[in-house]
Amino acid sequence: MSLLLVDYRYRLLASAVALLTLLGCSEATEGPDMAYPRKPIKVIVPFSAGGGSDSFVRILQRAIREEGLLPHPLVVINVPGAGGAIGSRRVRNASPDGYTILCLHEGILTSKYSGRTPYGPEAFRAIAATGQSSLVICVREGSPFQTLSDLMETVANRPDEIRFGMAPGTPTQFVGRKFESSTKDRIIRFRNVASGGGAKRFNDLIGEHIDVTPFSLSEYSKFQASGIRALAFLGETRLSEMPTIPTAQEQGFDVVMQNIQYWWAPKSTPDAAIDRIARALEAALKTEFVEERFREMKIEPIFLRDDALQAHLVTREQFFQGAALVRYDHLPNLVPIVFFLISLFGGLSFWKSSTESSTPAPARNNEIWFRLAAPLGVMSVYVFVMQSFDLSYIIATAAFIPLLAIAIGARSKRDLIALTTMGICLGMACFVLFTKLLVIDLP
Amino acid sequence: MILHVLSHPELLGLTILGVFLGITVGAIPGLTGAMLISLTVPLTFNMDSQSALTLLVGMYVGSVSGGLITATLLRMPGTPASIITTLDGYPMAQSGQAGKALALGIGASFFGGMLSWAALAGLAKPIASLSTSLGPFDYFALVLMAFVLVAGVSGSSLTRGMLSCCLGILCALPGTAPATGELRLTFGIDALADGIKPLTVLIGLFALSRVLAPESKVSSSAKVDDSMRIKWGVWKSQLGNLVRSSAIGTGVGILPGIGANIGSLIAYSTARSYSKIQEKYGKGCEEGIIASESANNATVGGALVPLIAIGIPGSVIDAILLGAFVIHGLQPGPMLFENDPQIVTTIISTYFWANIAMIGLMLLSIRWVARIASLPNHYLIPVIATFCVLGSFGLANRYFDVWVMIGFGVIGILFERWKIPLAPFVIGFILTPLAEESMITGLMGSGGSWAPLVSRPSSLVFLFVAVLLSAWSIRQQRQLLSNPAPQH
Repeated sequence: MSLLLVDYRYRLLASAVALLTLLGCSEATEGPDMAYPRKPIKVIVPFSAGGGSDSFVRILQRAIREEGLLPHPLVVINVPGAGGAIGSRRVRNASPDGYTILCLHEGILTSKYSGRTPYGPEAFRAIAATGQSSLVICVREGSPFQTLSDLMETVANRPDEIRFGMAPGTPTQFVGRKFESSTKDRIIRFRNVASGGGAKRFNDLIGEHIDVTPFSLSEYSKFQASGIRALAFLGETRLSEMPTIPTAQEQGFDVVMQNIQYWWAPKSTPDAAIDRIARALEAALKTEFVEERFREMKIEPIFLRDDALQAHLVTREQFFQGAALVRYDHLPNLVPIVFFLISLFGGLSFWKSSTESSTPAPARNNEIWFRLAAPLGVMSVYVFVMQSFDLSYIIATAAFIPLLAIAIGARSKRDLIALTTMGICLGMACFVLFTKLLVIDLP
Repeated sequence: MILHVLSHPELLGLTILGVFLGITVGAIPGLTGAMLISLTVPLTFNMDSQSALTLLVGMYVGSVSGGLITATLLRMPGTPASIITTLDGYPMAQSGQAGKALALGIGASFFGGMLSWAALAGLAKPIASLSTSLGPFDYFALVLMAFVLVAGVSGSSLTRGMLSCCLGILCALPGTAPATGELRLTFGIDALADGIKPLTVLIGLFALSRVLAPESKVSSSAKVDDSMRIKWGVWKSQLGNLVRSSAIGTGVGILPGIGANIGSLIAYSTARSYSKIQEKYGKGCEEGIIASESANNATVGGALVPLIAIGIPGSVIDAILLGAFVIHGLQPGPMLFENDPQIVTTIISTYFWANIAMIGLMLLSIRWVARIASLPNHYLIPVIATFCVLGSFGLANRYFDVWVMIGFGVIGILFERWKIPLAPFVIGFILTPLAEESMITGLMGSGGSWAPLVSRPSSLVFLFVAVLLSAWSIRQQRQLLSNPAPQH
């Protein structure tokens, strides 16, 4: 007797549930257009919770909520991955109604010019630029380089020897290229080493696996006491809190690398929405709370919008465009190696198991797939309806739990009633917990 | 260092909660600690990192311990860590000494846990400061060693272990290539630009595949009739066994990639070869329970050492903990001691108190937990499946991860069918980014030369150990083929 053959009563139950879900779908129709925003605005932060960008947005979010700068709060949603590309892609494809925006720093330019994404700022409407933090060029405490000129002189005399630590596809990589072309008369060459994120580069710097590397200001102030020394600040002027660090420009090298946090909206978002958000951000920057937190995080509170912002973006694009990245040809390509190993070991295992002749009975083999198909099907439908039809999570879960139980063999009426109740309770509890507490974007 | 958790009541509460949940899940056959922990990590997003790790370490300790209850009473190991315990625990329980068997197991677990705590507290810092001198080539060699080690010991066949490991490496490749920042193996799917997220894989392999293809459950009465009191003399006479097995467990734990089930297997066979009553092993022998249970708990502390000191997971569960560290913005390894010394203290202190909570909770709740273990499948599975979906969705708020998770649930079932071990897959998958990044950093720093791999002493040592280990495991298998060992 197959397990898939469900008694007709349960079919009835299932169709009742389906009907319920349909009813749940057709929510109240849209009311007349009121002033924007009528509901919370989702801010996509394309990095994980707890990181620099995330804390930056959450500071502004808190200021906007506490000062009531928008009638509805901003909701922060983390969509991390691929240096911001996953999150930016989502906003690029989002509907341009002003309720989904993106906060992404210089990474939007670096991922375009390092080939990670086929699009850059031109794919969005820029709302505003808020807050900047520049990089600091650092060496080991015991390094022979005392000034930036020392370093550059050595690099000029010994090309491809001084190891410059960077993370590929980020501003740190472009900084190295910029320095290489900053001496007017001759081209100099670092040995660029893909070392990784801040903590990793610090470790490699201390362990003498790289010789020089840029850090963000907050990284610099964290590692400062543990054996690193700053050579140059890559801002336009010296930072008031660290007046002893000279800028690169002062030392004769025209390299400026600010990291500015930009706010973006999908391409055809209406002007009213752009303006409303920009005004709220500008007001938030002026609150005492934001000013204080920015001081702690070593962020300079700048603000640009409209024409000033467009002009700024044009110069930044030119800056990155000029720095063509080098390719590294001597690195092995792992993909064919791994495929070769898989076919080698796969072939060996297959050959061994066929010589051992311990194949399981074929009848049992089929039964297992049969038993699997039902729960897998129920699960796929559950995910699919939430993904494609935006079906309410609570309703979907309340239906999913008893259906899955039926699929794996629950039959008694008592069980099903208990399971349906459990499904409703669990659905509601999870919905509240995850959307309110963990800010996860459930339908 | 010990008192840290005690001075924060909320951390103590989380430890106890974690241990309790761990014991319960560990006791239920089919549900494993890896499942509980991989499903809990997404729930800890909003906690601060200290509380999150306290809860997770508590679960780790509890889940390795809880398996002994069902292993003894029903001959169904609640977790793979307790497979060896069934050999002697079940016969003993059948002869009416269930209470004694459980008490021996609990006591031994506690002893093993405490001994490995001492190792953790004593070794983590020195190993971490040693590892600051490790360069990219050393890390690369270390990861190669971990691959060979885990492939050689986790299954019945080295070739299948290697196959599993290579498949794991393959799954880690799609996404943004670390050297160039270009996309590779994404087949035009935008969502793959970030690669496959570790937690979706782990939830799929360890949670979903377990519940979708459950082993048939036997409903049998699990009763504890006799007293659980053990005479002091028994412990005294077993001291040698306890210390030896715990030391083996700790050592196996420290080795990258392999964990509790292998630790208890090695300790058990060592105990048997040293024993005067070899013929009683497998028929309800006290020594056997003690060897298995002290060793499997000792691996927990041991496995935490390389995780926090070098950033290399000492077991599959540590691979999930590594994910938890990353989610909370922490980078395990030597830098952790510099940047977040608080976290190191918290983990070490939590591990101490989790062991104490474990012995208390096990003694109090054993009869009750035994009953939970016979809860019908169709109540458990839907709930777990719901959390699988929720947990993988919550990682980045996208359905793509949910489909990946379901896909790996199916892959986990296939692996089971084809007798391909899972552990090498997970370790291959988790450590490949580290290996690749180290390789790139190394090669870029050396200007494309591989020479440092053999000219640096530490990487040479790691490579040598890797070669030695593979030779040893090939020899082991030859022996197994020529005279098959008794089934366990």
